[in-house]
Amino acid sequence: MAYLVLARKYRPATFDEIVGQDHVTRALKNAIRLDRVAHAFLFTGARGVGKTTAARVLAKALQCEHGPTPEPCGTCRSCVEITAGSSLDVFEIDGASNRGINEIRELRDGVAYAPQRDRYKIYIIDEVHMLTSEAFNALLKTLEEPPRHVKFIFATTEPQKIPVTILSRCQRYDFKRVPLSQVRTHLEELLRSENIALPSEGIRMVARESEGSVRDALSLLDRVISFAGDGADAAAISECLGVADRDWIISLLQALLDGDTANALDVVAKVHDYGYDMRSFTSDVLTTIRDLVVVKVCGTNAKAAELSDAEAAELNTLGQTIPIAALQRMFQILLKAADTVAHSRHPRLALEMALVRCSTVRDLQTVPEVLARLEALEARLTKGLPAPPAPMPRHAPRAKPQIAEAGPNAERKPAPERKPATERTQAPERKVAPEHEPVPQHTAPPRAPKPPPQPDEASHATAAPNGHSTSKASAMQPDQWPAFVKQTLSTDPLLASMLENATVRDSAPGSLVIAVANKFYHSQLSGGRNSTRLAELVAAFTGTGTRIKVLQLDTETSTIADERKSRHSAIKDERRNTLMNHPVTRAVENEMDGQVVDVRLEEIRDDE
Amino acid sequence: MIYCAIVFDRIPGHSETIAGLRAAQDSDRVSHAWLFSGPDGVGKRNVALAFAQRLNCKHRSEQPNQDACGTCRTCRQLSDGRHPDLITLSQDGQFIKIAQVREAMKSLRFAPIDAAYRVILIQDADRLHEAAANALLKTLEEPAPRNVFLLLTSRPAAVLATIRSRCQQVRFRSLTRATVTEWLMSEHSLSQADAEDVAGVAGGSLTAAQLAMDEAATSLREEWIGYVAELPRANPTRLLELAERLGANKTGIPNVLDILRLIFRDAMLRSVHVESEKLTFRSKAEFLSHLQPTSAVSALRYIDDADNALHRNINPRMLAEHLIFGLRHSMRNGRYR
Repeated sequence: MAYLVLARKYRPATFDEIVGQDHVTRALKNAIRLDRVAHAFLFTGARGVGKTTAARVLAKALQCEHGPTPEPCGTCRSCVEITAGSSLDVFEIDGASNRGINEIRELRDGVAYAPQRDRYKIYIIDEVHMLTSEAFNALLKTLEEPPRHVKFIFATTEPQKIPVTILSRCQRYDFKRVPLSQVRTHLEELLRSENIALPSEGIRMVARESEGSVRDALSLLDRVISFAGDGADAAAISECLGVADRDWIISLLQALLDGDTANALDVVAKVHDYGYDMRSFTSDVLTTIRDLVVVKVCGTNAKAAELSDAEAAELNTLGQTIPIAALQRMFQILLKAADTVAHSRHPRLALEMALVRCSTVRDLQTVPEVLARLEALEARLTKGLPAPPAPMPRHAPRAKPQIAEAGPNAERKPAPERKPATERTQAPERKVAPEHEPVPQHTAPPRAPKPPPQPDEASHATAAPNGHSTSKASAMQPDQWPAFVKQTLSTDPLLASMLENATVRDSAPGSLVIAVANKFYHSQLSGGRNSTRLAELVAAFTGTGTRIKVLQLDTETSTIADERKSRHSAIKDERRNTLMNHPVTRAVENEMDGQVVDVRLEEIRDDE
Repeated sequence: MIYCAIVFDRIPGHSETIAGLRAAQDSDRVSHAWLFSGPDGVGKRNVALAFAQRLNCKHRSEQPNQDACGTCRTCRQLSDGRHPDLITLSQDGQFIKIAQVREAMKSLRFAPIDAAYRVILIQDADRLHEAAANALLKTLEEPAPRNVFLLLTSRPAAVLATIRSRCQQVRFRSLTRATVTEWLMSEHSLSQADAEDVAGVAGGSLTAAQLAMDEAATSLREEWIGYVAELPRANPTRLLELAERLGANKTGIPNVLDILRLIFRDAMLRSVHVESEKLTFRSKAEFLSHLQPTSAVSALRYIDDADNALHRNINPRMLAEHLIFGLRHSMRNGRYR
């Protein structure tokens, strides 16, 4: 005899054997006992929770030779025939295969005749949601007032697909998902009668994977028994079920929190190699992040987490260093990814992308953090500066001579009128603006280790990180300046961008004088965080504590920024020229009798 | 093609899966419905056919671990897919239709003609039309004895939950790069280096490896690695030229997208310092090591977008332009380090 899978072998034969649906079976039993059995039932609920089984048991209960009884005997001819599916008065119809109006008409024609032997004619229509709407409608009248000897039992996983007119004519019973503990007990009993030993941890895993469906649980159990065998250990069972190892999830999270994305991707590769489902892995990771947040918020003994103590402790250590906000961002990214992973044709890649995104997001700052910094900055600006800076000329950055801007451009650029005239006339003005003309100090400041700061000289900072001022004196040479700025670029880009506008005026061991033309840069560099930071950096660069003086002056000296600007505009000019003289441009001009009004070029990037 | 029956021994990889199937048969626990799930092209169908042979081979002694002979008539017929008791359902157009399922269920009313087990092989079970899948449910739950359903899918999540719950699910791992390399070297006599390259592209799938081996595919890869290298600095005219090349042949776009996906996946992995051992194009495409993670991810998104658009029947030329410009935008705006 061919092997019968567990789900078929252990299909319940009485109401009491049906697992976890007490609310349904009690009602049905009472209805039979009180002789108040409706003529049409609708059983709904998730797959594998006992709908078809309950329908069959109900049929047996009604047809059993020992009367309609809540406990069908299972031995009389009617009961045996129903179990074997060969009863002449119980019709089990596959609604999905016989879904058309013709099949229903046939059924309706048969309804009128009395049963062959038993008390009732019982029509069980399984997967009833697949009937066509015509078929449903053809059934309506019969379903409302069938002959006394007819009972209908419908079973479906998708009640929402059934017309309301059908729903209102049926007594509806909703089958629930079976709670984990009941699935477990059921599995344990079943394993005992099959004489198979499995560790309780393994049984728990099977029960959890079944998501409250008994049939799923039994299918999984079948798989475990045939693949892992009798007496398999928990690890073998988890591999067989495709449940990702908890260790992997933890090490993935650890890697994410450490910002070690390469390692996180390694875990994904492992999961993939084991053939685990990326979708369920992603949702496992999500659940764990959720638990992590719960543990962080509510502490390790939180009920909401539903974790064992060991698990909670593990998560607690894991989550110590990471702010909740960061976890939430990761959660959001992975939540989105879970959806993509489920539908993507490249689930692994989708998950990898999400993890890489997590790593880049990790360092982002939260809005409150940014706000706090802004407020601090604001406070410093109002306090640190004696008076708000005089309004800068609108085109201040252009005050310095531009090698290429005015010269060749003016001739070649065919649309000079696009530039506002004011700009041109303002330029010379700015050069003589008297309030921007501080006294340039070319001499180095006194080399006293700690001169008292002069009240009017707000523009120097003391660095001397360790107090030792000139032990191994070395000074910043002017030609070292670009290198220094470049180095700063990697550590403090904001500061570096200001320094690009500065030139070295004077330098000696332990002191440095730099000059900037722009008033804003001057004020920024002269006090607060920037000046301290600059002093530190210079100290690190030269190897000695250095006093730094920042001057503001308007001179012809070219700074790094100027050089770059002029270089860029030279390149731009060249490109503009090429474009203007390009044969295609020429041809278009001639053909269309047109004129080039404007040439817009992309911004030049540093590496060009 | 030279005749060669597929028996378990000759199937590369999957040793654990095969061991499980053997054990199921030897302990007389052959379920009536199996769902084989795993990546495309790893050999699910071969395993299914070999399993069918092992179930039915008449020369097999009952000893455990004894496989099908692979030479008897039954084995040969099963292996070729033309045994009278082997019913194969595969998609007709976009779906497996209800008519096909009904037809197959009809023959299930009778006992198998010759075989010990009739095998109903459903390929791409995720392509079962909703009505077809539902029509299968009752039979799949309680078929007549001596019928075994083997459902194959690369997307188990897309198979109806009600179907899945009736089957014993068997997961197939993707083959390791080493396994594919070995297979390429022994079956197709490729050199070690070539085999490794192809295996990397194939990503654990023999079918993909076979396709990737071909000379045209190799040159297509090299060509697009070259194009991607010039993207950040190419002028718009050149970009349009590339887009035109890509968009000209709509059927060829998926192949190019796959290549681009591998290229930028490499870039993404490089950007987070994954060892080069694990990359697809190990030594080639060094230029990608300068990309930021953000730009690699952004590029991959553009590729995904293009892939989705392709399935929505968009104008290929527009798709190509959007993609090429998008890739360049991603590569440039991520900024080179």
